[in-house]
Amino acid sequence: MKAVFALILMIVFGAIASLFLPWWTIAIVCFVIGLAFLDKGPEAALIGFVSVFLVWGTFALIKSFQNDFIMLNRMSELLPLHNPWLLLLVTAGLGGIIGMLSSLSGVFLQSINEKPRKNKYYS
Amino acid sequence: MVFLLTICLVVALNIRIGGKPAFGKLLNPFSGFYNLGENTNTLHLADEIFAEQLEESVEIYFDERRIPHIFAKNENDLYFAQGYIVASLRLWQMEFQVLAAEGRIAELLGAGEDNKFINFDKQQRRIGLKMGAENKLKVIEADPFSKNLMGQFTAGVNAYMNSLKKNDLPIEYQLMGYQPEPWSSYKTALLLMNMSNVLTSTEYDIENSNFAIKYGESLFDSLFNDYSDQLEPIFPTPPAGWQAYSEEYTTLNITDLPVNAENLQNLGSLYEKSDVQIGSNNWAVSGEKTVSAYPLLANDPHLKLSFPSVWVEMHLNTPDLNTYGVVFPGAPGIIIGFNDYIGWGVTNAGRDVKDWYSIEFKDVTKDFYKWEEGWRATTKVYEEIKVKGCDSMFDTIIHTHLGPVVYEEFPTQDGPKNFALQWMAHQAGQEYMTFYLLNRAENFEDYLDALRYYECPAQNFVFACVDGDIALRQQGKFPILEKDQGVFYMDGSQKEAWSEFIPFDEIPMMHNPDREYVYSANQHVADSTYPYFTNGVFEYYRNRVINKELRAMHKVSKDDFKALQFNEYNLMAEEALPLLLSYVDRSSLDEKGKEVLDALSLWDYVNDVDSKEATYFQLFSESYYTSLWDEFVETEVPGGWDPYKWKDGWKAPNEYQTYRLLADSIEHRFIDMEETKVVETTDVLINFAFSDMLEDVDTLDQVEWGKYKNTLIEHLAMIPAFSTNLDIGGNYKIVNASGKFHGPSWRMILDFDGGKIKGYGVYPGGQSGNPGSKFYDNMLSEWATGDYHELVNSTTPSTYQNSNYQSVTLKRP
Repeated sequence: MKAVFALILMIVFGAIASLFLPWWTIAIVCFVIGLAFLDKGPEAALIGFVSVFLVWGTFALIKSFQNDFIMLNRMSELLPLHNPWLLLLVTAGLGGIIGMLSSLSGVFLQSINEKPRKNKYYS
Repeated sequence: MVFLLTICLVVALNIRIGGKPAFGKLLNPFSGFYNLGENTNTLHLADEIFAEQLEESVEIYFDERRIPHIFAKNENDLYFAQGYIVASLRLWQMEFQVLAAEGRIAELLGAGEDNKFINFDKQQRRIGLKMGAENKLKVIEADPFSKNLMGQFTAGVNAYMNSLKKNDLPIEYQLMGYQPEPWSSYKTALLLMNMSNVLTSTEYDIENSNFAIKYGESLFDSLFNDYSDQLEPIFPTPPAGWQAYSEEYTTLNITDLPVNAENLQNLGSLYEKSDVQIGSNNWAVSGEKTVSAYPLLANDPHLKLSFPSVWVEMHLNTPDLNTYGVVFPGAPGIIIGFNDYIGWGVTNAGRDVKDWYSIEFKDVTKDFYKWEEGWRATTKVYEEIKVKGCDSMFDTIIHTHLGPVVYEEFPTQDGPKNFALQWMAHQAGQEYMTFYLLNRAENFEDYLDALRYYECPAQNFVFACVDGDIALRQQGKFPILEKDQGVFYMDGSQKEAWSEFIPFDEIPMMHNPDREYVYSANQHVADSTYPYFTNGVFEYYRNRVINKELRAMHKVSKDDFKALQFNEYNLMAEEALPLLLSYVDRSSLDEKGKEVLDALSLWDYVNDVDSKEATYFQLFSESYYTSLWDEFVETEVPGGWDPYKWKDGWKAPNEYQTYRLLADSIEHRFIDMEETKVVETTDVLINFAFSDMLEDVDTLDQVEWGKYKNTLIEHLAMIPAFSTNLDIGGNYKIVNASGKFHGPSWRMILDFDGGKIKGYGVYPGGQSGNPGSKFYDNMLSEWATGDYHELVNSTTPSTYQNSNYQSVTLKRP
């Protein structure tokens, strides 16, 4: 339940931050949510990955649809991956890794500071 | 640990490492490249744009090809809007071209392989592109009118640039990691200098001198004879002769070249001449030859085929002006086009307006150089070439009264020499005034007045008017040359700078000639009876096909003009192939060889897209040419497309000269190949070339001409993913001049039917410079198939106020 809640928070606040703030702020969002709501490493990694994977993947797909995939095709030749779908996957995957490491960082920082923390929002 | 790793990763993804783009920045879908892909349903600009500088509102209507129709209430607003709109379509291209002209490529891209970018920058500075632009700028700024004109355009470009956030900058900026600088009149001047550079690389002074020094002037004269009675100059000798123009035709002795038959190894490598394969066609016929009894005019300038396209198409309107055509991204006004009264187009004159002089320095300080019996002082200019990722390079450019010393201690057949360059482009003309006035011209007199301002690069301006007039004039500023001046380099201690120029009234022109047509295709301007010495690089074949077709034209319409623009007849093949084949020994060939020989004998000499014979001929002719002139031609020609790839310091006769020598059976020492022990004859060479061609053909996957040629339209920064290949007919030296890398960069036909001009045109690319826009290459297939669109130049905005157009209003806040 807590995990689902964290996932939704990451997606919503991650998307909002990305739309209005520099792209890397989504890492801070994942970090803070990881710090505040998650305590198991593997779980945090998965949630961080999935949330940013979804946010980046969805927006990349929407933008590409609006553009008839012209830019995606050209960039997949440029990089060169020669496959637009692969480039979409790489994009979402890169986002996912950023999300995973960020939320994991939150959990790890929390374990270092275990003692001073008394008030947990959920127990 | 993970925390640090995360921070490191995010930071690493946000900065450029090792010249690679910042991947996080580039790939994230919020501010990365996804964002630069244009929404295909909306315009690239907002409906309303506010700009302080405007006096009144400007309405802009974009059609379904994103061609803007700009309606302003006054001139200032018009040129502001033109700057704004051009920048919105082509910002990166405008800036990149200017940075290249200024010699600042290493600053963006680093030193490059073998320091190629540094060397390029050094070349641009040494030949004086910056100096020429600075001279032009002074003239622009000295005149309040031109200062204001350029200022309005500049303000428009900068207003657009300032409206962009860093993330909105074109993709090329993101990939190469730099940002645009504010636009200025200086940058427009640099752009015009760049055009001059591209169009006036028509000289071989140092190469010719090396040849004449080693082999003697008489051999030079017989091999490089450039003119014959078979050729048809742009301006035929008038019935009264040219003498009426000039009091006396003076022939002055130029220089006594030394003789040095010794083979000096390792001559200097000259700077690459920009694009010797460029050219253009234009023509006009009077009402006597048309169905409508009104003139028709056509123009297709052949330039490097590139993305973003060379041209932007536009319609400019104020209450006093209504003009339509194509513009250079970065300069105000229409360059080729029409208004409600006249139409005009240009081809390159190809005249030599670059002279080289050997300079002797007094000592190593190079503070003085020899002048007559004494010495003159040099001036020095210090240039810093910034190099990305390295320390700057510094270059000292020495100036003489003739111009900058481009080459120092340069190895020639007469030993090391310093060479100064005198170049018409260094002088400050007011070419922009020509276009400003042509945009407003209403008749022949206005056309002539407009051309008075035009100096360099010299062009053949074709003209037609709704009143039925047609005209052609080769306009430029030409120094009065001594005979052979510009063919060889000269002694800088004996020559003053150019001071006399061919008077305006003695520049060749035709106005309503009896033959009822005018045309030019980069051929010779006039024959030897013209009372001034002319020299340059000219065209021999395409122009004669055009002349033949025009002469025969009767009751023609725009479709006949289109057919002529697409004419793919290979006159060089008609003249050269039967000669070549007469030497081929049929009995020595195998079945495949006989098949090819028979096919070639029956060929109709048309380089259409499916022709196999065109490919055979191309390879056959190339092989003959390179083995004949093996002393001068690099044997390994990359791609086999540039027969002008010379060994350092040399140049061989061109194809026309080559086949003239063959036709006249002139024997000369070069027929023997240097590398072999046996003595080759023409017979041996041609049979060798034929079998060499057969071997080449065997290695080809596809022999059809279009597929073999596989025309490349290349991105300016040579990014393959942003470039395209196309299988089409035509070639260099053919009216449809679609070669491997160059071609008709704009095809335009103007129909003056009923005294109202209707334009048709198309160019190979699209209005947008954004590779993520559907308007990046949307006109390419229309261009390839000859699907010209109508150039709608209505003076009433209501024409454009419907669902086929998207509108933008530029207004004061």
